[in-house]
Amino acid sequence: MKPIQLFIIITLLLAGCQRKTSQQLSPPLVSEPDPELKDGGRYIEFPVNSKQIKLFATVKTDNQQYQMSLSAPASVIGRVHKSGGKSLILFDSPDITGVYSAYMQNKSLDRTARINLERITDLYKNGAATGKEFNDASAELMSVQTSLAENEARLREAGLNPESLNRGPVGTVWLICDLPESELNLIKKGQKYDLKFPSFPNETFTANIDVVADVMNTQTRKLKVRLSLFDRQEKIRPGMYAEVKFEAPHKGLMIPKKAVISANARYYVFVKKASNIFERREVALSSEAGDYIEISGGLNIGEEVVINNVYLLKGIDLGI
Amino acid sequence: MKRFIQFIIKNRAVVLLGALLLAAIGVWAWFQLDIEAYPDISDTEVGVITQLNGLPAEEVEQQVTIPVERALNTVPGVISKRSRSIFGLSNVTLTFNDKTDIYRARQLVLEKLKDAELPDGVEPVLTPMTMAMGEIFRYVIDAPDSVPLTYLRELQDYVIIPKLLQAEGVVDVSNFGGLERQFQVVIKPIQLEKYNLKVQDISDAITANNKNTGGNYIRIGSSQMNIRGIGRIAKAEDIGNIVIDNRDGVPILIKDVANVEIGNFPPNGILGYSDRSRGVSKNMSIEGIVLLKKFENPSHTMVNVYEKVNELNNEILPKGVKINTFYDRTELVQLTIETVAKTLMEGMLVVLLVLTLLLGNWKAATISALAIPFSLLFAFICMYLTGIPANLLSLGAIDFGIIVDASVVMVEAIFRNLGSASRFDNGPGIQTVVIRSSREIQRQILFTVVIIIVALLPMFTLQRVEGRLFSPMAWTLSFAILGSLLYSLTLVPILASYIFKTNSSEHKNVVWSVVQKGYQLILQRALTIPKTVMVVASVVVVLGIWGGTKLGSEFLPELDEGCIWVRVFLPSGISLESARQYPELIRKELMKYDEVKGVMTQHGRTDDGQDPFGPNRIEAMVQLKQPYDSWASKRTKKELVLQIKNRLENIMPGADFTITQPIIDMVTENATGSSSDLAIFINGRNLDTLRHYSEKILAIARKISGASETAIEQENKQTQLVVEINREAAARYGVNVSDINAVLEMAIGGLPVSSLWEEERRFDIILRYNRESRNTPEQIGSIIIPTKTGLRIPLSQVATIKLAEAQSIICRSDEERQITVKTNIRGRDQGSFAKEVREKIDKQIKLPANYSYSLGGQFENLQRSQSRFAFIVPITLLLIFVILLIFFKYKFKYAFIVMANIPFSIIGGVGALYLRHINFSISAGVGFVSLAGVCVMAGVLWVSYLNRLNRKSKIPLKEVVLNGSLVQFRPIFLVMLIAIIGLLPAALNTGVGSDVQRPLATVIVGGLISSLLITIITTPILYLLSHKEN
Repeated sequence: MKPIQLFIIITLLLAGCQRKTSQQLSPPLVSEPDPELKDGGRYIEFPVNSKQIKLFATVKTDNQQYQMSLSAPASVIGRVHKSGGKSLILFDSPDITGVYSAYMQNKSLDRTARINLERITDLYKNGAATGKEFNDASAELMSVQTSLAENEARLREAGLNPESLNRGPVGTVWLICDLPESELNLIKKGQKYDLKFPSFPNETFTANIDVVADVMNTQTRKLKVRLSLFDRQEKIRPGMYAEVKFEAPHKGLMIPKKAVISANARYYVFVKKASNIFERREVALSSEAGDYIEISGGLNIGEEVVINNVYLLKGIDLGI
Repeated sequence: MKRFIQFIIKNRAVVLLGALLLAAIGVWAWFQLDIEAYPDISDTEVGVITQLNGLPAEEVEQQVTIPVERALNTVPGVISKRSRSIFGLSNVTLTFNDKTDIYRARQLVLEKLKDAELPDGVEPVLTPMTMAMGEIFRYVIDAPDSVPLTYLRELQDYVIIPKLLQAEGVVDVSNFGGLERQFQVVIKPIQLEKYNLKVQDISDAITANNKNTGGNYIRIGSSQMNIRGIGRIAKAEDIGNIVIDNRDGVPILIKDVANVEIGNFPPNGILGYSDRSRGVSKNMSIEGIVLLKKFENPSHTMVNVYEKVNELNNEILPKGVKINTFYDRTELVQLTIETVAKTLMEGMLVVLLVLTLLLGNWKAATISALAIPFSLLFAFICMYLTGIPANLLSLGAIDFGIIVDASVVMVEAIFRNLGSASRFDNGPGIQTVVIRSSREIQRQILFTVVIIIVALLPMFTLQRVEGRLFSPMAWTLSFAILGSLLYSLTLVPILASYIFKTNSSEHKNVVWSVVQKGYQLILQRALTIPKTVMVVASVVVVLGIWGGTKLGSEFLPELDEGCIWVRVFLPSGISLESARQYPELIRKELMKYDEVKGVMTQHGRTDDGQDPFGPNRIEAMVQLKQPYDSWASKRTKKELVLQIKNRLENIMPGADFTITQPIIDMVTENATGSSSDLAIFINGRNLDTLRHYSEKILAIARKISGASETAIEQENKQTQLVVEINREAAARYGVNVSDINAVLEMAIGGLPVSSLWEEERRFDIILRYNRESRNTPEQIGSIIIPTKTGLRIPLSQVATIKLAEAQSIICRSDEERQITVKTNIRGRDQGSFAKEVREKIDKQIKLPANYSYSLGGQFENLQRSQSRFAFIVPITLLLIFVILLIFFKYKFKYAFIVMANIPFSIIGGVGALYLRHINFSISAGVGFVSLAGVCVMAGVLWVSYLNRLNRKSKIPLKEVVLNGSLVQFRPIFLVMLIAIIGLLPAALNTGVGSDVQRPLATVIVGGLISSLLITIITTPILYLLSHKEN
């Protein structure tokens, strides 16, 4: 055999041998075993030493105090003015002014009618007045009282308590605010609240709730609330708008919002039951405050809820 | 034929010149050829996208998807119709048969779409005319962190995309990520109450105060002046100053009741990327995806794109803003072309060496080996003329062995005749010897080449994906073989007549004489016990074929794209904001692997809605370092993928993953509706029933060995907030449903009411309540609805606001709702897996009436091509048989002897697949087909030579067979050995793009080895036996 041929054969053989398979290197990463679902998916149980458990960090639930707040528009409906030594109430609408005047008139008429009736009764008892006179006097009183009641009702409907209107010193300003039904838990009679007027954007005023209307408007589901404040500088005019911030401290079971997931048309959180067991628990939500949300049912104080990768737990539990 | 060779030899100088010219044209054609990585395998498709802001999936299905599907019912040539409806988006995709012209299909769809009864203002649009592999270029826009994303988005929308669209071949550029600037009129509901206004009033005011008009023209003196009324909103302050109403002479302006803010559209998707080479990692960035027009060539287009990118980077974009490439298809083209070139070069070199070694004459070897460049150049010309692009599949299939075969046979014949001629002192001249040898052999060569081409017939008949994959391969191979035929019949004799001398006999060849001695000994022994040998051979064949049925099967060996595509499915209902941590986590984890060059995460969907993905979907493109053998870890890509899969599953339990590659992901998803290896489609009407059964099937599929990334494709229901209007209450208050809807759309939904132009840039003006008034169900319930009577009532008075379950996605296939259980198959072949799935489902699950299931995904393609093969392979064999009959002048026995070679070669192919753990795929099938061609060729040469000897001589048949076989052994041994060696590099290569060739090459190499070992014994024996019986 010629050396050249030998050489070629050897080269070819070597070339063929070079491609050896060198595949036994780092063993492929092993998969973590799947967690188990128990009780129809209510509990997720990880193997005790699973590294995945630490993905689901928890917080302990506790009652927390927070400020619930709501802004609502209010309008100035009236103000006590001083006019020739007497105080005069100015309203934002002629209607109410009319009603109020009528009310005030009725009030004095009522007083006169009452005195008149007392007098006639006395005379009638002593035979000095006729039965007709007595009847007329009682009828007059009744009619005055009826229109008094009617006007009072109209004022009350507008959110005004005629009794307290009279008592306000000069400079008292009344505001009416419609509050939605759902927010009524925020207010308390006699409480002070901040309010702002667009006319005076840099000033904050404080007002008290005087009256909470007796009847809710069934159509708008709103309740009228009257507030009053004392405006010494006579800046505020009837008809002005204001924005009232109702705030109330509230204590409740607060958890971070991100702990809550929605599924099956319900809200759930995952509660850590043991070091490796998580429970899916339906909860009822209440108000939000910042990144937190109040849980009004389904959770107890001291339980640990998952706050990280909550949706991954949902995936394990309920699928994609 | 006789005159042909004489003519050629006579005019040999002219023919040679002609050949040189042809070669020159071939070189030119090569530079004209379209070069791509993989052929375009997508079906002709037309997609219809309809966006409906804020509408939930059921509504989208009912109001848009179904009407669109119905309207498109009559479009001809449709083979499948699929749709997906998600929140705010409807996608309907029609797949057409191969014959449909895409332009016509689009035209028809547009025409029929007009008939669809859709809600007012809903405009369906067609998807860009691209293909599954159309995403050829992905770039990111980089800028210092101080540059706001809204500004980058503006550059993208109004500078970059319009510029890139100018590049020839680009059909569309999709944006992903960034923030779209919009002008937001943020309404304070308190103020609305105060002024007793409605949302509608504000929207009306804006539309009424935002218009430019033309007042035609007036004539002043002799000139004509056009009149233009300018009333368009030009800046944010303009919006604030629009008057809504006038109360006692005091105007109420928009700024009295709302703040006008410049904000951004809530994003549908977030893009992040990490690039190791540039050391950049960004959690919020902006990407552009350049889509290639169908039928355009990626390489040519990329040249145009880069031209525009350079122009943008150097001249147009502001300082600091730069377009950087993240993914470029030409890299893949480069890699695959390198792979092909490498195997081609190796093959060519090896063939040349072996020829020199075995012919013992370097001149003869060179003449034979020159067939390779000549055939290739010839093939390039044909490819250029027929428009077949050069790619891994068309070029990768070229087996030099087969190409050289014809010329080797010719050279060998000339050489042999020269040897016998030189024994006489004044023998015939060189030209006479050449002419005589050509005549002796040219008929055989012609017929065998025809047979090889006929053997390729099954590949021409494949349809759809596999057809587009393999028919270019069949064409190119046929062209090259034709070229080699031309070369062997014309140039080989001519070159021989120039180069060989009459006395240039063969050198004493040591290698060869040893081989021949051995063969002689074996054949002599075998001829004494012919029947025993045949029985043993038959047993081997039966065993081999039985073994073949045990082989696993798969559609296509993975076409390696040099990168990884990860699809992540998070649980449905998650918000974009809370899901944002995951793309960041995924990128961080993947970048820990040194092999990873860069990761890009697409979270959510693009703004134009080509993919109906919600915020629970993440797609990650993982770029790998090239070449693979530079990896320090010495891992294979397969191992890396497995590692990545396990890693991701470990850090994100509860999420589903599908790991594929970008192109194949799109191709299979478009073709079959699922990007996984196997999809189990469950069709029916009720989605709950479908979900119930799909969960059962999922449980079955998960337990089958080999199942990986198994999950239900469609996300489960998600909880939504339903505002259910109480008609009775609404009537009582005199509220129209449209009033309520208007408030919902505008106050909560942020409906665009008008637009604002800044030069050519257009921005939406939207209305929205301030955040505090629309954040919780309670707040939504207290949104004020104006009534006819002037009363203002809260929404909760006329509607119930509650949580309800609703579909996340509704998929339909051929107008039936569908849920898909998808699975990848790892460490097991697809065929047997699918069989097991089918058996288990049939056994364990009984679907109710009108509900059915079917298997699809990549498997669908395998099934279709298998049934096609089952039909066409017998026909091909019959055709080959008929050709053989013609060749042997209708002597059946000779045709049979030749055909008997086929089973002997098949067992070798099966054995080789088995040894290398390669499953049966279409690629392997193609290998078997070419194998059959080569074996038949060998048989033809053998039998026809024996016939010739037998006719001439009077010596006993056994002697004739022995002597003839000894002579013919050399060309056949050569032909087969060269075919084996020529494909050996392709069988062993592991680079990007080698996966397609490997099964094919393995089959041919294995088959030819068995054929070489068995047929050289069996053919003479069969010949002997067939004559004895006479």
